[in-house]
Amino acid sequence: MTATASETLALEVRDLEVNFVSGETVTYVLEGVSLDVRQGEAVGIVGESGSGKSVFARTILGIRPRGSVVDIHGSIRVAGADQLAATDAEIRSRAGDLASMIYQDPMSSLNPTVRVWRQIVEAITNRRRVRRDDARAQAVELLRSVGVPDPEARAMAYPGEFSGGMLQRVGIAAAIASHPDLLLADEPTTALDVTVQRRVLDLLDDVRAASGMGLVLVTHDLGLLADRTDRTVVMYAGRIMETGPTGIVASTPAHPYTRGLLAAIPRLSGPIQRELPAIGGSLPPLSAPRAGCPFAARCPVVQERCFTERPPAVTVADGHTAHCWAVADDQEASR
Amino acid sequence: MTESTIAAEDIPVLEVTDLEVRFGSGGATVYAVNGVSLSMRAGETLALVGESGSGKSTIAKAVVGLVEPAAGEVLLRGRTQAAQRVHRDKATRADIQMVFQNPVGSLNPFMTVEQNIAEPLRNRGVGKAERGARVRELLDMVGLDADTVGARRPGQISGGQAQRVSIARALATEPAVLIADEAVSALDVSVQATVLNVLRRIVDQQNVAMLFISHDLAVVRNVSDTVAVLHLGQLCEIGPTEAVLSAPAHHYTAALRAAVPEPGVPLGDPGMTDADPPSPRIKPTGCSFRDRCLAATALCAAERPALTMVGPDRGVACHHPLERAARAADPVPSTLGAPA
Ligand SMILES: Nc1ncnc2c1ncn2[C@@H]1O[C@H](COP(=O)(O)OP(=O)(O)OP(=O)(O)O)[C@@H](O)[C@H]1O
Ligand SMILES: Nc1ncnc2c1ncn2[C@@H]1O[C@H](COP(=O)(O)OP(=O)(O)OP(=O)(O)O)[C@@H](O)[C@H]1O
Ligand SMILES: [Mg+2]
Ligand SMILES: [Mg+2]
Repeated sequence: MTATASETLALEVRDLEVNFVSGETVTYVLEGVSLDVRQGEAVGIVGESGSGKSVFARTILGIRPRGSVVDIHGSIRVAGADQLAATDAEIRSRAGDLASMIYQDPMSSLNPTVRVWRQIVEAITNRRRVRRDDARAQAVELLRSVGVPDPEARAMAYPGEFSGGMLQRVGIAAAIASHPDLLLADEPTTALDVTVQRRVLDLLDDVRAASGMGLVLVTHDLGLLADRTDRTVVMYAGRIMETGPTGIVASTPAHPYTRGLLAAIPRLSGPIQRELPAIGGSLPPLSAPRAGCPFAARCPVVQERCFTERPPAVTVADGHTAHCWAVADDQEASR
Repeated sequence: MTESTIAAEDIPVLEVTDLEVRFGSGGATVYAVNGVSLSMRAGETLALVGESGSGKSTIAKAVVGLVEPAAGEVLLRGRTQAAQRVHRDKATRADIQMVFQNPVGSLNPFMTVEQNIAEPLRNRGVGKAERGARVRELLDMVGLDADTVGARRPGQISGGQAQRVSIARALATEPAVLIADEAVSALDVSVQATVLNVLRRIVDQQNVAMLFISHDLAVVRNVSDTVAVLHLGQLCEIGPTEAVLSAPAHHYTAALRAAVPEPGVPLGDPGMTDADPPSPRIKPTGCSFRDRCLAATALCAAERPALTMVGPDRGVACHHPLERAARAADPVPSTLGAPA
């Protein structure tokens, strides 16, 4: 942390490109993603399955996939510290300190042969010197705060003895234990029922308010974003399609992809939809850089140039931007 | 299902009777499932909802024979099934397929996506050429391109892609019973819609009985015919989905319903106390929801409420169900004592 802590962004990503190279094949996953997260700010990321949300989060954290060579361009700063220039050892030594992550798949982030309290303690002691007994009591407290019933007994269990949602709560406890500057939460509540989900998100809100931690919340639950995030970023095929204040993106989406996404939300009221409104077609293969707009082939308002020219960032309103030729035309016409 | 359904179709495809499952022993026993009965007909989708740790996955695993029940039976088309999957015959195993909650972990990490989906077909003796074509078709159904992801391993695809691969694999053998354990939870709403539409068509066209485990009530509302609400290994409420969700009879169902975030709708009153859920290590007595229930009385601590039919297809296990409370002028007689 620098002296001007209050002005330092929790996260600053510029033009991030990530390509996976394995043998002959190159997968162009991220094609120029930029994102700022202020301290204490919560930013939601939504987008099509396979569009690069998890890769984005993992790249920030310095996690590279095994078996593929990763080719990265652009810059990433977490609490002012350059993540891309850092060596593996540096990344490891500050893991959990600057940024930590709640994973989409909790089982993969926990060691199945180590009792859960030890795994949480590891996260605590990584940052500060704490007595073992204190650390253990803290681990139990953290488990209680994320809603694990009977935390004293459950702290002694192994990950395999937990239900899916309970395990996710262990992962959450481990991630916030180290008081990171930035928390990357990759679908943290996907496996949780709504009552527990609410409790966990309340907890993340509290931690954020108390410590000024920045939060990046990747989720498929657009309903959840409204209450929990200041801004929303909509991703598609490795690019940002739209970004703006959450309430505005949800109520007056500018990008046709965002509109399609919102239309597909199943509803708890109104007529029952035996056939849900999906966006036809599927994600383009990421085996080549996308020319023009990656959503063109599925877009209801597509134009010819969408297939060849990359759409500009169009400012729809203050802090609300869409990357779309149709939106650009609208702006032009209304001027 | 309509009234005119012929008798043969009235035999449940899948039945679970008085299922009990425990993990561990002695003081460390976890009472995961405590006497649950379910019945599903062909072409029916039964949703199983309930909070984390309530035993949904455990019921599913007992149905496929991956955990051994302490009591109770699993019946396929009226025939009792061996408790362990290995003791079941090949045809039965192929007939009950499950999409696991943890998609990446349930796929073989050393096999490619294509090999993972082809595996159950190969076990069934389907020839190579036919397998290849079928794998493509299955991938296409779940919105994935075989040329793009087919040759990758599970570690090289996204969470939602892995989830769709496990759905494709479960559908490969055209099962009679499909268990989908949080099978669409990792998908964005648009891909989720695509996949749910596929599952719906398969249920309708192939007359599959689908056990759909989910915590997303909006999804449950749109895909299932019947919903069963589980709390700490016991059924609280069961009935036609829309009826249950629009007018819950059990206080827990009402609390679940109230906790759903919807775009543009502020979160409502939680509808329950913020007591911790009880430990699954204590053998449940009385009503397992009473500590968090706003309507609990001494009776709720003393007696486990039996699942009582309150309508033709509607059962509720509550001493003070909501509908009755709404009808009566004085919802809960004060003579019953203070909340437990
Ligand atoms: N090791 C790898 N090699 C090649 N491609 C990969 C690898 N890992 C991921 N991908 C691809 O990169 C893209 C982005 O993956 P990522 O996991 O970031 O998606 P996501 O947006 O998180 O999706 P989901 O919502 O399904 O979790 C996907 O299309 C995926 O198939
Ligand atoms: N192998 C095991 N050993 C010990 N306890 C277990 C085991 N598997 C499950 N349990 C416990 O049994 C209970 C029911 O777990 P189950 O996985 O069925 O819950 P669930 O309803 O599927 O929850 P979730 O929504 O979180 O997936 C939980 O208390 C869980 O911790
Ligand atoms: Mg992901
Ligand atoms: Mg489960």
